[in-house]
Amino acid sequence: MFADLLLEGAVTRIEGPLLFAERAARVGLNAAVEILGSDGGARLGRVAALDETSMVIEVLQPTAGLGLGGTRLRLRPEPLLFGVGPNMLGRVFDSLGRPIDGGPPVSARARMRIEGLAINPSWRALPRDFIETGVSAIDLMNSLVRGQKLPLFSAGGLPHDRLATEIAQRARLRGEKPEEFAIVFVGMGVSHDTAEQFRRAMESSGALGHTVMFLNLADEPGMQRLLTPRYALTAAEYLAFVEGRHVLVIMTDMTNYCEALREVSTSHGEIPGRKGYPGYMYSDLAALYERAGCIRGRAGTLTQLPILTMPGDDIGHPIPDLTGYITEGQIVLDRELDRRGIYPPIKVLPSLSRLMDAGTGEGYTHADHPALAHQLFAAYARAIRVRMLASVMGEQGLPETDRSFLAFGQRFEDGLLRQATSRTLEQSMDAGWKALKGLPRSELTRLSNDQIKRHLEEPADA
Amino acid sequence: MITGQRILDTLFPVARGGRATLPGGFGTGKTVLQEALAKWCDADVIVYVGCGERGNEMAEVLDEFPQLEDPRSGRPLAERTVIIANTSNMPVAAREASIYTAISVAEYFRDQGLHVALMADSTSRWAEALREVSGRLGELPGEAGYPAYLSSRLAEFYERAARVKTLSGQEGSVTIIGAVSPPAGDFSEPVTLHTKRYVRCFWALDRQRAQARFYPAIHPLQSYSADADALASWWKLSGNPDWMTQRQRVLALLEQQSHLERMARIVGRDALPAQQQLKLLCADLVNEGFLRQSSFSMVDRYCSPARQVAMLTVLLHFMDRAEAAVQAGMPPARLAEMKILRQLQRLGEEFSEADLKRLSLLPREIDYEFDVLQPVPSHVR
Repeated sequence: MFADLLLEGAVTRIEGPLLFAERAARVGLNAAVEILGSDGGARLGRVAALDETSMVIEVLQPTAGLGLGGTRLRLRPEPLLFGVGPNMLGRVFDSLGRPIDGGPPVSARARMRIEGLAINPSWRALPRDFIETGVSAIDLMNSLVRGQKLPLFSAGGLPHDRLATEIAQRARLRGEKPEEFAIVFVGMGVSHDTAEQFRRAMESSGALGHTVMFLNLADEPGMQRLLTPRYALTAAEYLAFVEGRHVLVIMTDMTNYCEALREVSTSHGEIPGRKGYPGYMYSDLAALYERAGCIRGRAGTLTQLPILTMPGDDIGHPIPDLTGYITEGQIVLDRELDRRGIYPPIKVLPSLSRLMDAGTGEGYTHADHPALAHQLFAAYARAIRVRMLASVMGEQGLPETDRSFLAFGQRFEDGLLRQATSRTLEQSMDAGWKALKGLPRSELTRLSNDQIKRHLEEPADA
Repeated sequence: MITGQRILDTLFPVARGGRATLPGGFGTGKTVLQEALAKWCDADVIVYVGCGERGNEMAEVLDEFPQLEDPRSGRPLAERTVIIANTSNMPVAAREASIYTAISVAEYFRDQGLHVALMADSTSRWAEALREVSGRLGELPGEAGYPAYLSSRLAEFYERAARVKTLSGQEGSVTIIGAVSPPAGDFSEPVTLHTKRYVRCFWALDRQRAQARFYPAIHPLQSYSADADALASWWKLSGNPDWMTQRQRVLALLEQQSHLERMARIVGRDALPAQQQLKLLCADLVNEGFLRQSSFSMVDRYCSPARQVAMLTVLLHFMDRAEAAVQAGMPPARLAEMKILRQLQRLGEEFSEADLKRLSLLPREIDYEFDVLQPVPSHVR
């Protein structure tokens, strides 16, 4: 085991956020280090690399003012820990888990590793329960399930912040007590006004009482940005798996996180992979995203809603690409819909929720929900194809059936996608059936005859 | 090997001891298809490696397999399955090892005279683990940062698939089905390209099909199977001597469809000659009624070879009658209004394994509807 030691005069070189020192004492990789400068301030760091004679320490706070001679290192026998407790709800923390709302420190009930531990797959319970977000395009077409990680792929200038705020305000569990629900908001490299807007929105809707906020502002060091989500997820894991709440973690903006990862990797002199991002970015992102889930025998669940802005609107860029390979689906926002004034501008076709089939249908939402969603997808895909055709040869040149799909596309976008207020799932389904009316019955191949009869044909006696 | 998936068994079959790959971008249904294969293919033992994949997916497999019944033995599916789990947040070096662990387990059962199917999901994560470890060792990177020995490692892995005669004279086999997750769905990246060199079946997943929720989203024109010729004799033995011609006919139809659709996009569907309009109609029918198969549907998740043959026969019968009718001057638009069409499009859903007899009566219903069909809609007359 390692001991809690104080090391003096061991520092040999300081370079930006990295501090090189002689390995004069036994120390473990990733152990926490306190750096005591001659200016009297204490800075937090961790051991990033070790060899026979030397060690490299990442300093998580600014290194300006540190000298070689007067700097002492306090080597901790443990990795970075976060003291978590029940009174975290309603509080605001900085990147390193320290309260910045002027309130008292959190009385810690447990100290947990910020890196977390991988959940043994055979202990995981299958995510099954539906979360209602109030957004039709999500609830009806790409349902969010407790324990899922579903990212929002957005781009600069699109209203992803507004959508995330609304989901945070409206998200509810069907049939569960509201006090079992908690939200953890993680702002990574966000501007001050985004953070403030979110806080105000949550306050005005009264949701701040069950929200924990972690803020890493855009001007803070990159190294801290890598730790922010880890502190936040540790808090979320505590709330979910120790206190038994259903936690929704909203992380914005993952693109800033990945940029920080690239910056730090480059400063370590590592071989860059695609577009300069480190080769281990997949593993690193997975270490965050995989912390979502449900565990057998524990009451709580951890659901993630990461938001990322696709650089250059390119879904093939490494950040959205690797994210998409880890997460269970994606919700894609579209600039064209936004320009046409449709809010929320969710592009339904490339969006996907992989766990939808597990969390919808008989016993979870409504027996006809999956079939309706499939039919809407198929019909809308056809409508988009016809729309392309129509732009080439004009609407008049189209056969009757194709024109009916064109009209359906319009009804779908105006009646279902566009929404000013929150909708319950039942209201969303009504909107869906309404949009399907007017399509020829023979084209509705994803619905059974019975479903068509029940929902699409007018009652005979009416 | 019978997979129970129509598009695979009928169009791109894989033989026991064969090697297949399943490349596709995210959201194209790689994992769902792999799981469907693990559930319904007729192997004795399934080795399923979750290599750098999602924890919830592994949980799903662990949750679902004990509840499902093996159609052949009547025992829970979990009893014939070995799962090797390395979720994406577990150590990278273990990810590299997981593939080798799996294939060794598979060979162990193979040597007992069992037929083993190995599902590797996904070999790209394994290749990335090789890359990460190689990078840390300071080796010179090759293409896209992968180590130069990537291709030989892939070859070593896929070459372990085989059909063997064991020392005790029994027959055993290992069939490898490896998923590949190419970055941005680009099939020209090193892992897909090198894998393609060593496999016999290539099942390309198509994003456009997946986005229309057309599953399995295997693209019929980009995929191929080198085992098809060898398996014609198997189909002959199982009672379908015409399999090779039927398969050719479907593939040719789909090929023509892609040409005609391009043309239709320029001149409009209605401007095409009647024969070609009919081709498009038939191709849509094959896609909807035959190739589409939902893994989540209780009725259609597994399709026995007998049902596949029956379904294909019904559809081809319709095509024959339709072609004859069009030749006799029937406008294709009238055919598109036929009542039976809706039933044909939902063929997989409406006729379960128990309804084979009802299915065999369908050609007669088709005949009947064609016989009463008039070139002009009845309400106009």
